[in-house]
Amino acid sequence: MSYDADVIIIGAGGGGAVVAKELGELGINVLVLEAGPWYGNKKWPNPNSESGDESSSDVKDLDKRLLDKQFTDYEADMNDSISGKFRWGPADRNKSPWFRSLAQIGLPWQSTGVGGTTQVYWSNSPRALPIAVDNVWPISYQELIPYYQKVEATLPVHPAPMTAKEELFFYGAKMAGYPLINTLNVTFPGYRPQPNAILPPDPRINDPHFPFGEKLTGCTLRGHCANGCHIGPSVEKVAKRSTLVSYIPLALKTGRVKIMPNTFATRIITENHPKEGIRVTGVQFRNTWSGEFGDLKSKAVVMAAGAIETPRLWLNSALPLNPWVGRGLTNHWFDVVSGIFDEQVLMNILGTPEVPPFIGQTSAARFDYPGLGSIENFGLSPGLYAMTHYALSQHGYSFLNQTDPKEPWDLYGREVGERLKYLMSQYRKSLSILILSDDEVNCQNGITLDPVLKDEHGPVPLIRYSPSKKDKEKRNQLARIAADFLRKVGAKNIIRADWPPGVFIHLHSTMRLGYVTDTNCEAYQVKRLFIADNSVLYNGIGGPNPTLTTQALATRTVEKMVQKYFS
Amino acid sequence: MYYNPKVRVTLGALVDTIIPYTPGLASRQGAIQAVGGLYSHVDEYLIWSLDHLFFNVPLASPTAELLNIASSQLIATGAAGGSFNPENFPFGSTFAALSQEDRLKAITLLERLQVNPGILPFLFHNNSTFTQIIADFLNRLTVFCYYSEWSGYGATPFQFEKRKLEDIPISWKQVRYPGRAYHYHALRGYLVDKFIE
Repeated sequence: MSYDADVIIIGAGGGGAVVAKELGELGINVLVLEAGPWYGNKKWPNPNSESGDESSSDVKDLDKRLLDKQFTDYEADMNDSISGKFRWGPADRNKSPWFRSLAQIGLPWQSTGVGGTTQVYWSNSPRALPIAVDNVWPISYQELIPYYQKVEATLPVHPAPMTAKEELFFYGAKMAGYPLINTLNVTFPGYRPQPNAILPPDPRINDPHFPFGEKLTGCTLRGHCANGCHIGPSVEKVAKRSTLVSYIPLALKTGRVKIMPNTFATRIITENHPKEGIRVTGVQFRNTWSGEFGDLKSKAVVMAAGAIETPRLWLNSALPLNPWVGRGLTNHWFDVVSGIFDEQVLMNILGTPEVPPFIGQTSAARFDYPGLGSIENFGLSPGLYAMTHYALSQHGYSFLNQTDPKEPWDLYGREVGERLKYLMSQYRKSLSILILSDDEVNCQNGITLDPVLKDEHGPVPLIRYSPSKKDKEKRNQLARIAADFLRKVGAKNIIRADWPPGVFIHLHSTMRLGYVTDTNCEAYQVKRLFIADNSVLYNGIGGPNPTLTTQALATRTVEKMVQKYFS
Repeated sequence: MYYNPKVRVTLGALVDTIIPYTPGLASRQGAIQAVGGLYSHVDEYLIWSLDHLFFNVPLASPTAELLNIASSQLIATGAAGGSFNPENFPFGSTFAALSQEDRLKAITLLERLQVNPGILPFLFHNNSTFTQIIADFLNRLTVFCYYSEWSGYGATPFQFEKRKLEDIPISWKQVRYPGRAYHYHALRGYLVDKFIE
């Protein structure tokens, strides 16, 4: 039998790119199928208006000038969920995004494209909380550590630099009585800089005559992490280490990896092998520009399409029934608590009258509370800021609701009208805190196929998520802790948004290790089919941002896969 | 941008409710604070977005109808507190005839599923979840658009590959956002130099 590659990877995001690089370095021939466009590559000079080439396998195709042109830093251009470059949809922005059915209000916040959602992520790269892994997962935290270390060195991950908004956050955490912790393995509550996958700023950055220029390596604290970073002398040295600029260039350098953007995997092809049983033999795909379908053959397949599309693809491929496919979704049920400060208060603490959300890495300070979850500071450009703070709530319009006087927030719910405009006028004197709840796995939550709606790739995914009573309590406790930080540093107003549970930014555990896959992340029911995205996580890892753990696990998966099938 | 005037007026009224003209705020915080979302044509953005959200099935018109039906119910149940003139609904839009507060109450009826889903238009008909999702979406998109750079794209804001940012959005002036930046001299050191195992 002839193969198109030894291994086909579905998805070039946070997990798939890691698998590609690791396999390529071991001499395995890899083909990566990515549904979205490839920014910063000469073979697609106009990635949103022309189909361009079929594939790229040469690191010399990467082009920083193109990336500069395409990543415009503007949020409607980059982040709009319908027409933005970072949306869940085809490269052609005149076409609608790919629809996801929701069983509730909310939005799935994912991006297609080489680099996937890491193009837009804030690069927060904490490890899992040990308490959420040890004696919970079928593998131990200790076993993950060498893989964490490898990913942390490869990206690389550094303690994030402090700007005004971090200093204020840390001061609040300290005043609330929590300790500073300097460990990667968090076992008790405390605050620390984010372990961020961002190249540190040049130490001379505060020198007013410092020559910023195209040759500079490192973060410039310009606050555009979420809008798409392109700061650096070349694609592979861009400051924020999305896989687009980290693992993908390293994968290409192995000479073993070919990547096909604009290629949507529509079906996993299997056979019933006399010895191995049901096993994968390839992938059917559809080109998103031409609409043509094709088949590709390989000795193994890695699903890394994300926690929505990986189970959808399993279900659309009619792979063997497993009651846990698509089930067990955790999403950290987010919330936002923010504070507005008087200039004098800021002067006293920071020595400046403002704490601009748009300066510094988007999120550079965090606080983890094992058993409850995590909270982190963040700062966004004004459109995303207004939307996430004042327009995203399950509580309705705040003026139609009473605020509970026992709770530490002054405003609760959605803001509109003159009050919204007033609050936004205080943008530069506001500090934002994001709540990430350690929500529990519930098999009622997850991805099924919509019984009615189909798109060009088959029945669309239907997403359902309902938090438990315990999740709600944890989230409320974290929100009160965040409000306490803000009050302790003298916030004039505290605002809680109360996001609906259907906001899907961190999505995990829909193809759980131990339930859908074995401890090598190989599907129990389909041999040679591996999973390497957030879906394979056993749970929500205790609250920390999931990407690093997925990347560590993906690194381990490659080792196991090669031992079993390619050694 | 041409569109059915009733749809335009209805969604325009929504924009004018979420991001209104606010002379009162301007008198306290400076003239720039008066300007609202209609000045920046956020209604056009909303119409385009609704028409491109869902398999390219136009949703702006049924969404406007949704708002008008909810408004009629608000009036019929006597829950509309503000004054309105039933003889003078702009282009037949009940929603636009309501006070700003009553428009929000009408949206709240939809969100709380207090409008009979059997009388709602195509796609919303007997589809409570979709109705709630779109009601939420209207708020989010309006606010996102207004405070983003979108209004600065001049006459061709939907030609994504050709448009250029021509003007500084008024909203950026209102929130004092300086726009995109390449660097800030803003480093305040490191709380931790190196994490330990």
